[in-house]
Amino acid sequence: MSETILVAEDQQHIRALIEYKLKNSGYSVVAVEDGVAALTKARELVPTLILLDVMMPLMTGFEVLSALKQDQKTKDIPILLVTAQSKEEEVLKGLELGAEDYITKPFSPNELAARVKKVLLRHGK
Amino acid sequence: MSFQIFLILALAATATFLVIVISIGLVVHKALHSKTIQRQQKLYTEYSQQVAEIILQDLPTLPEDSTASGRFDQYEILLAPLKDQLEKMTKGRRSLHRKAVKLALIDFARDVAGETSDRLVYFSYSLGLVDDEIKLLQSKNWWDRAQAAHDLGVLRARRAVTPLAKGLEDEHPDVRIQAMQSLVILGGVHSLETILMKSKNLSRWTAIELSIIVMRFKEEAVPFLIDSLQSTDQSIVLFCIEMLAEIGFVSAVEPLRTMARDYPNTVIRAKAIEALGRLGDERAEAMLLELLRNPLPTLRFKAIEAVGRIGIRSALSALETRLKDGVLQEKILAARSIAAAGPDGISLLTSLKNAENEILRGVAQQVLEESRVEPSVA
Amino acid sequence: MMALVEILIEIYFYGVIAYFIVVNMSYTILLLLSYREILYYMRHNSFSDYRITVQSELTPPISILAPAYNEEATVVESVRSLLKLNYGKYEVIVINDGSKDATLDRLIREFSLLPSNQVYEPVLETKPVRDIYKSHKPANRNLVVVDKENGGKADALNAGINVAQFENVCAIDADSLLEDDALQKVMKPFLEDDHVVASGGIVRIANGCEVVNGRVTKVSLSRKFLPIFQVVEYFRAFLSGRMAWQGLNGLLIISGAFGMFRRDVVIEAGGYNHETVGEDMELVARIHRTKLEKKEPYRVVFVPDPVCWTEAPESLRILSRQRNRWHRGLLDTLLIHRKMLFNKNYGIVGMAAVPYFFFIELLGPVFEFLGYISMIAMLALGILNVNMTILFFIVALFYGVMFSVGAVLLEEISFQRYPRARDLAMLLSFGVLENFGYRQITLWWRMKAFYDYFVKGVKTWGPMQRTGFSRGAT
Repeated sequence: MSETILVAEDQQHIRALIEYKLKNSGYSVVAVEDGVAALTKARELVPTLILLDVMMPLMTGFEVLSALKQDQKTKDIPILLVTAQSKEEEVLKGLELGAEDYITKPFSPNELAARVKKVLLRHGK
Repeated sequence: MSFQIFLILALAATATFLVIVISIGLVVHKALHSKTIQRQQKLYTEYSQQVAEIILQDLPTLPEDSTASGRFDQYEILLAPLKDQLEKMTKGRRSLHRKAVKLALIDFARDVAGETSDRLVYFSYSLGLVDDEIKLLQSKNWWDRAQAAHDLGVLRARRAVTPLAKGLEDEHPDVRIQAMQSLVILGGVHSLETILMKSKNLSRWTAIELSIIVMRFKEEAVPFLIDSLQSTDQSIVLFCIEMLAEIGFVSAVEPLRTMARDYPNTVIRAKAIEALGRLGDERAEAMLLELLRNPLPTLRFKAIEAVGRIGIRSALSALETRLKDGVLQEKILAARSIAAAGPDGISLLTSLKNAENEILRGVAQQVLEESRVEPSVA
Repeated sequence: MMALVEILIEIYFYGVIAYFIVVNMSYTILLLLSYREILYYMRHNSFSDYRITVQSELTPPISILAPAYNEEATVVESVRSLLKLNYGKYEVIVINDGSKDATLDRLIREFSLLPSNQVYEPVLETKPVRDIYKSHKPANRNLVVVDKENGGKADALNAGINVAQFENVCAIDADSLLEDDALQKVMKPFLEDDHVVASGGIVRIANGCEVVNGRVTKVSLSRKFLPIFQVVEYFRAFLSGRMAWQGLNGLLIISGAFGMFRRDVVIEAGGYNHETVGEDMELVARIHRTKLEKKEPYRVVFVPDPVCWTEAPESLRILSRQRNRWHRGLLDTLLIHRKMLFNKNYGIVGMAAVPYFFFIELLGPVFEFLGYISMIAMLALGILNVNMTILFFIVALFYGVMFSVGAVLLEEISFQRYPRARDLAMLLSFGVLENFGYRQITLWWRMKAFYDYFVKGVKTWGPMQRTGFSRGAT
């Protein structure tokens, strides 16, 4: 099996948490810690799904998101945004830019896994 | 002669020597310090791995009728290896390791919700971290108290509600702010009652921090804010008025009207008038019109602004008087409120554009110019 | 005869040593006080999240004042970055101080400015204001441009204060770069304590740093020598000088490149003095004086991390002019306020701050200079005790190095803006190197300032100086 999921998150412990959870759920996971690395990896690997934190150094999640959507190769990859607090505008902006779904911190890891699964099902994977 | 000078120079040299020794000491200290930080970082990484594993490990589903303690037993089993590990250490090492565990738990607790977060809360109780933090609330260093107040909120330690409430009266503002934030995490909107009751002399900075909390609840906070209008602390009353105006909830109009009419303190009265303007409720109109003639400039100015915000047409003649008689600041305020009253106001100002009085002319021109800019801004 | 000379020499030596001890004691005390203050600041600051607080409606608005004189090349870029600062509500007031070039035209064209009829009360006297411009474009509605006849930087700032709408005014050099949180951080003391009337931010040297889109993205040292010497100097002045004085509420200088004031207090004190080159220091001294004479509680604070980056002079010629001007400003300010010297009615300011600035900062170079002269004279007369002199120089050198090291250490325990160890080593070695040459050159410039001030009577900025957007930092 093994769908590859790219996780871009700058906070080390959260990255470890998500990585661990998703690996446990049977996906293969690649984790990066900033926006630029996220973009490079996404173009290189073309993962099945991308989990993108909004507040990241070098390039914000939004910037990465719009760059990905403009690229022919990556524009169809479903993207899940991870935002801090429930800021309505941020969520709306993300969805407008083409994110599939969003998760707000604090989040429940079980819920995260369930959402990932749902998005993948929706995309027939 | 030369002996005396030599002596003094020798003293100076000794002093210099000492000072250099101290600075080298500082450098060494710095190096050691960074080593401690490195070690702490390594421990933190290790423990955050370990904690991540135990908070994510799948547990067998409990039968329907089982009690909360059944869950806790499961958690205790998850935690057992970590506890053993810590138990076996020497005292000094243990405190270092416990600190790393605490940091990991706090970091996760901040970003995690649901059953996973229940586990974290249980772990921090079971490891005795909550009790440690509660003890730290009594520390003589304010920064330790502030940090503890902060951490207790993140760790969702309900046991800490009472000591945190005491923290609202701490002598250092940072402790007070952290205590407020944590109490709100623990008790939700209801903790506003305690916070508004116990807080005294809010600085503007503290008020900003508290306003961010209040704005998260908006309408839900209104009853608590209205209750605290009775507070004896001026800063609290001002804060509540400000927030009521900001939230803009109708049930605030009645109490604010009473305050605007006959509150003994002018500062608070002025704030209440301003708030009525922002709330824009017609029930306040008659009183605001009356206040346009108040002899106290602070109250009158606020009333002029409030009338403008609501856009009351019947106020035009009173405003025109203020425009003609007032000082420059009052003229500008009055002219703005006239402009806000609609076409009638605009034509009144246009007629004043050629007034004899130079200042009056200038004010009319300026405000007309502003009102042309405004629509494109919005 | 011989005996008399010997006694005189003895007295001279004792005098030198007494002064030497006083100076170094003062530095040591200031260093220790700074250490305490910085530690407090670091702890206090760790509990504020500026990203959240900036969103609050309760954050008070600020009027930013940026004087401009013959700045056509950079003015548009500077103003554009000022309009993008991360702060709730603020207005940017650019004061065109009768520029002879196209400064005003550039602004009008770039920001679609139109003459405006803003009415205001000219509480402070200034050279006539020709016109006030505002933009009718929504994006630029926070911009106000005041066009006035030339009157110098202080006069321009006063005109800006007249026009300013808000309670707090922030004077800045538009060619310096403000960091994102800078405004909030200098504003915070006003919000925490209603007695705060002025606060100044730290100025750092941008030479050698990487700047992208008006933002310093990577901090490192310049490759040129002159800026590095100045970095060490700035550390000493800001971290171990001003930080300590603010703890004692005796801070006499707020940098003209970045300082926030309560508008009503500036007006109460009479605004900027346009007859001095040291208008920034003079204003702060006068605020102290006004408040102390009225016996009103007040505080002047220094905030060590709202960073304002500035380009330091890289040529000796420009640097010499800057230092000459600073020293004339210091001299002028202290002469204007000489009444406060050792006057216990002025509390810590009269008994400590003014004497320190007078005897150590102002007259220090004079004493040092006399020291060199007398040394040469005694050498010529053959009465110089060479061993003793060498010993003394070594001691002096040790102290000098020690205070530079101390200042660099303050930086290291607190902000650590220079991430590379190499830069830190460079700073430390320049703290040693500056004693051989650089120190003597700045000494000479400062001596010349006395000559210019008293003999030539140069009290203003001088014809070749730009008034606004100065490259200077103090």
